[in-house]
Amino acid sequence: MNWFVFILIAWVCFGLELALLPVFDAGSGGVHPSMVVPLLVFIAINAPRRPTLWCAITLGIVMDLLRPIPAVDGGTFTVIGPHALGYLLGVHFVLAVRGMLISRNPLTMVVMSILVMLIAQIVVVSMFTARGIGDSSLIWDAGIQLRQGLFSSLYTGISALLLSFVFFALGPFFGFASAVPTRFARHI
Amino acid sequence: MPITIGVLFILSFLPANLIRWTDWFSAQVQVAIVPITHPLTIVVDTIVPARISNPNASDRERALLNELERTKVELLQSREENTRLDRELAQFRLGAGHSAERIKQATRPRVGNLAGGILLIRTGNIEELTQGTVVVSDATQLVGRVSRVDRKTAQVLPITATGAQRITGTILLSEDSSRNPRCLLSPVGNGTLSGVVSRPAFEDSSQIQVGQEVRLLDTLWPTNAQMLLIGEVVEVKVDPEQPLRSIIVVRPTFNDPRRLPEVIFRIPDTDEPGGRP
Repeated sequence: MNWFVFILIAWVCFGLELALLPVFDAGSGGVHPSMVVPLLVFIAINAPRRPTLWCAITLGIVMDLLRPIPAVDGGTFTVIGPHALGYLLGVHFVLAVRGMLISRNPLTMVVMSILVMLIAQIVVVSMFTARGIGDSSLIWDAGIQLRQGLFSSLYTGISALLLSFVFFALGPFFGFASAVPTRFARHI
Repeated sequence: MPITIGVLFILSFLPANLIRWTDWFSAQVQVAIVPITHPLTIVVDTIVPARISNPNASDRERALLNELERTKVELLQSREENTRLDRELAQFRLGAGHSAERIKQATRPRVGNLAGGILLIRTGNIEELTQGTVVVSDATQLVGRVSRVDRKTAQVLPITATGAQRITGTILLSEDSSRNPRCLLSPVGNGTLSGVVSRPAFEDSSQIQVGQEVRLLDTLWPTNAQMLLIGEVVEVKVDPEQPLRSIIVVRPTFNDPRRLPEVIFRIPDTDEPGGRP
């Protein structure tokens, strides 16, 4: 896998996610599509297992660093880990089922992006909620966050549909070395 | 890989005072991401322009309106201070001088947004910019407070962000501030704030109407922030659990803080007037 291309595309995806946040935000309610998760799903469907896991951790750490959580003292905290572990678990799910997926189908990207985002959000909410049991310095409402995460996951399906065409076109530049073994189709 | 997962798991549960060092990494990532987010933000703002207050006004008219608003805030702050001093006089606690805090304002551009509704502002080298500094737009419209300061940027948590704390405001019904109802406003999540109104007297509740101004009157905020505009009442409804109380919905004059092109920092001026040349 070409890491330079991955970093460049990831940089653009993070930029798109943050720049389009106020425009695509549904009623300023924190429900917005992710541009990073479709990239992660695209990598998970096509790349070998080990680089995929490192991609998930890298994107997750960057997402953690870009998501400061408001604190009760009026400041913010940056907690590294929840998104990285959430993305990692989501990617594990894709790796487990990718043998049964049609890799170059936009609908695959849509469904997998929704599911990966949902898994990641559940992990993030669970970790912050568990953290809040012993540390009340962060402002965190699990119910609101879970609701936002659920709707954001569905919303991510739309961004995944649009981005899938871009990623399919850019596929050769990623330099995925070998075809992923499929259960129902022969290797081309 | 197992070691990485273990480290991430431990980092996720470290106490807040042990993860302050992550701020530095966060600042570096933000700096790295700004070259892509800022041009994209400009493109987005060009294609989908943000609503600005009084779009037909010329620059001179806008400057005059801002000056008018500033004077109005100063007048209200003086009134509030007079009321407070009157109260103290009545309690025979003389000695507290008029503490009109001088402020200096610095206008800085927004370069991007972070998740959670936090604004990323390019500050340059503003001295005395600290966590908790009050941030406004259009001279007196309260935006929020600085939640973190780096060497070149500052993060601002708007009052309408879901993670923002509740604020106390007052609805301006009469010149006698002691008769004005107070309200404890919480961010709803859709760009508005909502809260129950506490009435000084029964007859005052009927006077609360859509379009009235709500201003900040909260002891947890700095003196220079008192009487800044929170927004206008856009809805008045009866609290279903307490029928004698009203719930108001307040919307700031900006539609979405994340679309503001620039913000103004209100920094307390600690320099003595005749101290240094």
